[in-house]
Amino acid sequence: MSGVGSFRGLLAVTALLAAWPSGADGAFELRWPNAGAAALAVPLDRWPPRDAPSPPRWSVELSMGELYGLEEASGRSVRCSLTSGAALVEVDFSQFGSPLYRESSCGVTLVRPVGEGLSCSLGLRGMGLSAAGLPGRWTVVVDAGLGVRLLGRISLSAAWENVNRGAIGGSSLSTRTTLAGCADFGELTFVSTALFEGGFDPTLSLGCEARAGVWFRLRAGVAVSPERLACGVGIGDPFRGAPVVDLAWDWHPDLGTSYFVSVSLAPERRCALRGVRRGAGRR
Amino acid sequence: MAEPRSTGARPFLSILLLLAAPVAVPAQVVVNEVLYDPEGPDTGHEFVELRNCGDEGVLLTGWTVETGNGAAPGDWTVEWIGGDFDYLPAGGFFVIGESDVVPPPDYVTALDLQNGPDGVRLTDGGSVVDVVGWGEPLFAEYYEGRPAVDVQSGSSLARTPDCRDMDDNAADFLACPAPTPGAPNVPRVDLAVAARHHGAVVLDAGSPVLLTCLVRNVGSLEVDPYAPVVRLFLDGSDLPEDTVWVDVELAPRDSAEVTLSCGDPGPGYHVAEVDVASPEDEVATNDRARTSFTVGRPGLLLSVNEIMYSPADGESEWVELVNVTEDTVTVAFWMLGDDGQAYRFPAGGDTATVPPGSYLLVAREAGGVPDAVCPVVEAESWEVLSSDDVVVLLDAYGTPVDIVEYASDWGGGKGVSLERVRPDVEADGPNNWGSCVAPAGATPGSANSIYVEVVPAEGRLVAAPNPFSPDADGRDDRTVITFDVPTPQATARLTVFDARGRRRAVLLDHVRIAGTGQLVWDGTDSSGVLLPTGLYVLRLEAINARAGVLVGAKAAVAIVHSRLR
Repeated sequence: MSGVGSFRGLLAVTALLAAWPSGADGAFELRWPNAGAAALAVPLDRWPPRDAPSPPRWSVELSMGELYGLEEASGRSVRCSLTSGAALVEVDFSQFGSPLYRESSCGVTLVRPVGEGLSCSLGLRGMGLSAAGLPGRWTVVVDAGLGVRLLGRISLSAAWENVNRGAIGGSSLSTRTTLAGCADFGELTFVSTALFEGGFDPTLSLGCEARAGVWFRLRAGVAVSPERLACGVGIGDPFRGAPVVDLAWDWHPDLGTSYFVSVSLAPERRCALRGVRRGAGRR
Repeated sequence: MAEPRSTGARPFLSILLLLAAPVAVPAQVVVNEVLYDPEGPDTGHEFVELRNCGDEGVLLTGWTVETGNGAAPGDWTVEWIGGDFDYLPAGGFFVIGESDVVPPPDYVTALDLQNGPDGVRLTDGGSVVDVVGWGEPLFAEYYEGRPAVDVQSGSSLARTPDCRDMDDNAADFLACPAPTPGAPNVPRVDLAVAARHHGAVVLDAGSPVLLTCLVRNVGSLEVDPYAPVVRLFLDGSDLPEDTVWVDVELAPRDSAEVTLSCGDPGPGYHVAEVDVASPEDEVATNDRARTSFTVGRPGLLLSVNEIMYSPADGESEWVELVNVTEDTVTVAFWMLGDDGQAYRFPAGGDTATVPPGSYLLVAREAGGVPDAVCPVVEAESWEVLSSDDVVVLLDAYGTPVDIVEYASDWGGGKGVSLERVRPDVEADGPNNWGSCVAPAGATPGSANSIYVEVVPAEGRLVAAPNPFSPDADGRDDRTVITFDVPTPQATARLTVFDARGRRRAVLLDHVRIAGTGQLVWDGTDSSGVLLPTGLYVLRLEAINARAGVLVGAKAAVAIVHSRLR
């Protein structure tokens, strides 16, 4: 278990670095959302992958979307995860913006169990910024996460993003802390998150996923600061390894509707435990 | 009336005098008009008018005007001898008359002209230049060709037309019922026309256009029926809208009323011109008359463009007019007023005309519009404008050119003018008016702050440069946000959100804007703190409740700080 011990040490160091969100108020998006998350009213945060390492052995997810109907605020991402032994490794790449202004992110995340129902995550991401006619700039940020499963139905997690307080292009990137809770009641799953970012009111959200049969999942959510309403639908049978298509719409009272769509494939998911599901199970 | 002189016969002397009389020569200066039998007492009103019909001036030194007794041969009396400075310019008049002649004669004397038969002659150095006789003179020395007719009391004997000299008094002279000492004589045939509306000058759309035309014979001869023809022209067209023949005989000073009509000329301001033509009409200057009328709302000519009904303290109320045509508009004798009192424009001066696209300001006090950049007419007699009032612009004929009946909810206020969005579209209706949004509160003499060439079909919001870099390095430090909203005026709110949808800055907060505008943003938030690098969303909300227009527009703008460069 020496590997587990060293991982715990690394996590402790990053947790100390993270502390609580700083006063930085970066507008740079740390991570592009995926459709399933949007439908659960936590549209901009889907990190870390909080499941304990378990099958499926690998999965792929492609997603894209557009914020507020603005082409300049469109994004796309690809995520791949691989389970090997007692660890889950996820690699993701995302872009946000337009050719005139583009934010890019490329990261790798390691998730390991550190006790009964307890897992830790550590992420390392390169953040890039390019603007028309200007040379690109990169920086590296470190993320950390902690997850716990209680009674087989309830998951709690915490995540710290940009614990090293990276900066890019003369601006500090945000440091965020997200607390999340997930309760699975068979056909219904509830998710609630609280996102803390220095200088802003906490963003609170509550979402619900209802499973209608094997192939359909309906989602709805609400958030405050800023106020948003979201709804979505998932089509596909994740428990039999079929591709899953998630569609989501997120409505902002001033800026209008954003949309997200993603396609995910996890061929070995059929072997997974029932409680481990895309979206809901990962919260 | 003076008594005729003795006609005692002295045949022998008469024959000698006849033989000795000078022969008449073609005259440059003629006896042009003689009033020998004024209405009422003759004394004081008789005159003899000379006129230089040539192209060069004539010095009259030594010339004489003599009156003759047509009943006796050689009975001439010298009434006037030209002095050293008596000069008659080309075309000029010289009147020898009695003291009560109006206007005062050039030479005053007691003429004692007889009512006939009698005569007047003009000599130069003993040579007879011109002779005119009337009645039935017994001797040929008192007339040329045939003697002129003996006119009724009150009429003069006048060459008609002026300077006509066929060496035949009967043909050259006609009775002139209105003597004209020192002025051109009444022509033989002259018709004058005057036009007025047959009803209101503001007509309902589709109602017939009828104009009454008064044709007056101001000549000396009768005019036969069906000789004069009257035509109606509209808006400068060469094709008559209507043609009417005058079917009655017109004696001198008689008039005939003619009614002309035309089809529906369409809504707006129209100018009607009537023309009377007669084959022998000798004077063209009085053959045309002009008037105007409006069908429905006034048309486009000179528009009321801006109204300051509640000026700042110490300043004056004013109304701005703009010429929306491609021609200069003459506003002499036009009127501008509200529902109380009207102000009439002066006949001349710098403000009598308004060139195309130019402005004219009418103010209660010329000095009370300190920022005016156009001519200002001072109208002291103008009543005070209120926040709910009517401004009426009338042309010289009294036809409305523009009417603005505004209300306080159209816009304007203390120190803020009420502006017209488009001066070339109908004034009525609040959608074409709004409060001035210029910092000064008004734009006297220049384009209105809410003027828009074309109201955009939809909202538009653009930022340039984009991305921009607010780092005070002098390069792209600010972005210019340009917006269009499909209404000439609106109350707007422009907000900046970050990509997560959080409000970061409010650039306009319920501010009145024109349909098109620009704003410079320095990249700071509502607290004045520079926003970090990132993508932001601009959100414009504009509302014109009066027009029922609610507009939303979005645009993305990126801030990139300098360390990236």
